[in-house]
Amino acid sequence: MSKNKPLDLLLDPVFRKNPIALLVLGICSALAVTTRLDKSLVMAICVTLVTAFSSAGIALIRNRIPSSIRIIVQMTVIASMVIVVDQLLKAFAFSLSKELSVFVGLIITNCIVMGRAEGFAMKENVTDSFIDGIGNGLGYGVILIVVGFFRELLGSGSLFGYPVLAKITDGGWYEANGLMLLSPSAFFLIGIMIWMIRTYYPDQVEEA
Amino acid sequence: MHNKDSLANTLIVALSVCIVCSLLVSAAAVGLRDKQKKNVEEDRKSNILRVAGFDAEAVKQGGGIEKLFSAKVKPDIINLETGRSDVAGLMNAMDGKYKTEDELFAEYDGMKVAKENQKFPKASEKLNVSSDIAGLGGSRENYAFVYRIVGDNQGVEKYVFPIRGRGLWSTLKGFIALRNDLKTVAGITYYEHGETPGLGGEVDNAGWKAKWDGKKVYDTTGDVKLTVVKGSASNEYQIDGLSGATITSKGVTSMIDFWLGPNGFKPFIENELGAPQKVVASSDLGRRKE
Repeated sequence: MSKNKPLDLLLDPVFRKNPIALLVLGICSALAVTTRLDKSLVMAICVTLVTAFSSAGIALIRNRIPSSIRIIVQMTVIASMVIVVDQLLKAFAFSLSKELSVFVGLIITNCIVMGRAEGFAMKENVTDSFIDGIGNGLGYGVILIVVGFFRELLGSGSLFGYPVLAKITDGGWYEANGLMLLSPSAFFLIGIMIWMIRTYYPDQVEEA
Repeated sequence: MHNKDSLANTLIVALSVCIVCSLLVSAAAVGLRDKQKKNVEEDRKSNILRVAGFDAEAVKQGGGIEKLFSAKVKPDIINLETGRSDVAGLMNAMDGKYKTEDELFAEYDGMKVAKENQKFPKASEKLNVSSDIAGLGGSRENYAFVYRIVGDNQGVEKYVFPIRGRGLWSTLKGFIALRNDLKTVAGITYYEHGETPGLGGEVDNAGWKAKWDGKKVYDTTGDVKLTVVKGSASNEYQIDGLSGATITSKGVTSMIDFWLGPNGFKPFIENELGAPQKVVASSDLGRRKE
């Protein structure tokens, strides 16, 4: 069995093997929650926690999981983690949990979590799976935060809710770009990022 | 090692995963329930304080919502039909769902009762199509909260009413505050909606909300005249429309029309105005007490 270097496990998914940019997983929530930077950040933290702990949990019992029910076992573990995270948010970050509403619950359906559980945690040990979970969560989070940064800045003229560009509606000069607040803009931004990443790592380019 | 794909092992794994996960989930839910309840409660209170013109954000940072709310806001439950305070009536209509009045005040949710009108037939009533202008889904609760905002010497300065109604994508939920003449708007706020960001979602815009202050609700015959118009407002019965959000604007107009009209809080408003000891002009407050 090849030894995984922890640092590679952690950083590879952030840049070189980014789950959104390379695997194009987890796009749905990346569209939905990135209208504001604070929402992106909290979502990134939630997904990181869920991926890390569910991967670790699954790795812990990987040698006992019968292959006939492995997907449903993974789903159960992931769903429980998501509910716990959702409950924690409701208790400690109430206003954000209200804004994220169903999207926290929908982490269950985020392909990244499931993908890492099935693709990595079923084969590797607990520590590696945990680190891999954090790495992939961060990879997802980095994209989310970059997309959230541009969408909030161009769409609302603010960052973390603080006005940066004075909007015309508030008596300033900046005409807010309404497209940035709608989901399609995230496609454009993610597309541009994938383009940039694949220009830097040409080996990621798929054959046409 | 025994065969992990055997039937016995499959059942054992399935069962133990279920037990461990359910324990984890219930522990989180039960352990955090009180804190979550407090959050919901505090959120509602800060929305009421905000619409009444207090700087709720600043108070929230300092953790003083509870204190400010209990000092300034007197919640009451009224029967919408008679327009009179009727806490006992609601306790009765809810068929013992709430043990104490405190519980009732903390948890009563009129929207839920209206939706589940089969479950609490005494606490809600059907609306016919022509009167359901706010799009409440065919039924309305019979009892609703009103909040009296009191000044330093306990005279009522403002009234806060919960409102809700359909917009384009969602039901908008909020509060409207009237001054103590019960004809003039003091503020409006929406705490929950799913309208298009940047268009209908601008009901959140502080600049737009500020335009409501001082507008008149009723015309001389007592009908609701306040309207969100297309374009710019030209008189005291009009509010600037939200550009690009015709249907949301219409929804806001309709819910004002409904909730401040005869099927809403109008009977209560008439009662309050007919009982002059409660309605004290703010400029007279000091003198009357002395």
